[in-house]
Amino acid sequence: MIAADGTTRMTDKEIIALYRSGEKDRAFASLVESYGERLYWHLRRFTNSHEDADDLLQECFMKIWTSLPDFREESRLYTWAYRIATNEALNHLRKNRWLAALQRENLDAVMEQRIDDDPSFDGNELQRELMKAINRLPAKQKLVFNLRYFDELSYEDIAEITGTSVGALKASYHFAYNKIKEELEKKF
Amino acid sequence: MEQKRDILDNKELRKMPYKVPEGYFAAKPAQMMAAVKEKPRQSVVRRFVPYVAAAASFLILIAGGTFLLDKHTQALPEDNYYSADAQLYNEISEEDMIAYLIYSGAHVEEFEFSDFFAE
Repeated sequence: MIAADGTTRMTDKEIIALYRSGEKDRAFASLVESYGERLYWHLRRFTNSHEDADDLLQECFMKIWTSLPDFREESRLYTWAYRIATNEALNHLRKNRWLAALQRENLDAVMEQRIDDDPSFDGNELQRELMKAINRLPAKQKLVFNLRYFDELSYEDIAEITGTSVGALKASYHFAYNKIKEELEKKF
Repeated sequence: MEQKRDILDNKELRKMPYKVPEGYFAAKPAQMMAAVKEKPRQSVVRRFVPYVAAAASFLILIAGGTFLLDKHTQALPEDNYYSADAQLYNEISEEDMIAYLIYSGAHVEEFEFSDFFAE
């Protein structure tokens, strides 16, 4: 499999075969190599923070490592990894919402402020406003929008990750897309 | 008439507008490997220990609760039930309720915060 950066990466089948043959460390390293970057950006879009995304990424790979022996190949390795990352991200958001509520803070405002203050931001104003508009979406719409728009996953793959029907996903994406488009068109 | 272009139909917008530290992704496989080796994998028996402990606690709680309930319902005259409940409710602070909800793992979406935080 040729990656976007031109390097050759193992396919899911090759990784699983390597793992089953006893080369567990090599299989795991290949898995991190194949999906580390995609999962990082998936988590980063939910947390708006490099540090939080980095911590969650480590948690994800910990879970992947401990669950690999039980992986039954009923789903594909990459949708399975995405599902673990998505659960981590949603749990993190839930926890932060509780903490923010206890401190009488509005988490959405805190997250939006993070976008404004992020020293690693390297885009233009349209990109910043896009990030803010995504931040204002309900968690489920945000998830579907990110997976479809940025990661360009098929609805079938997103359905496997989220356990939702393709029809419901299409509706969610459509709502999210139009909401963001409307917001951006008002400003630009 | 010229049709307005979709603002989201833009390849540049699909790229993530953030920088990561130099060599961040290249270092990940070795870093993750070191992290998982540091935290040893749990054996099957150890993996089930928390579930067994939770089930045991639950059973003890149910047994204890049933015992106490039996004892108190026998001791209290029937018309005192509601006044006793009301008194107990008044003694529970909002902080205690919130602490209990967090402890019980209740989801934030299930509650109206305005009820808890009303001035």
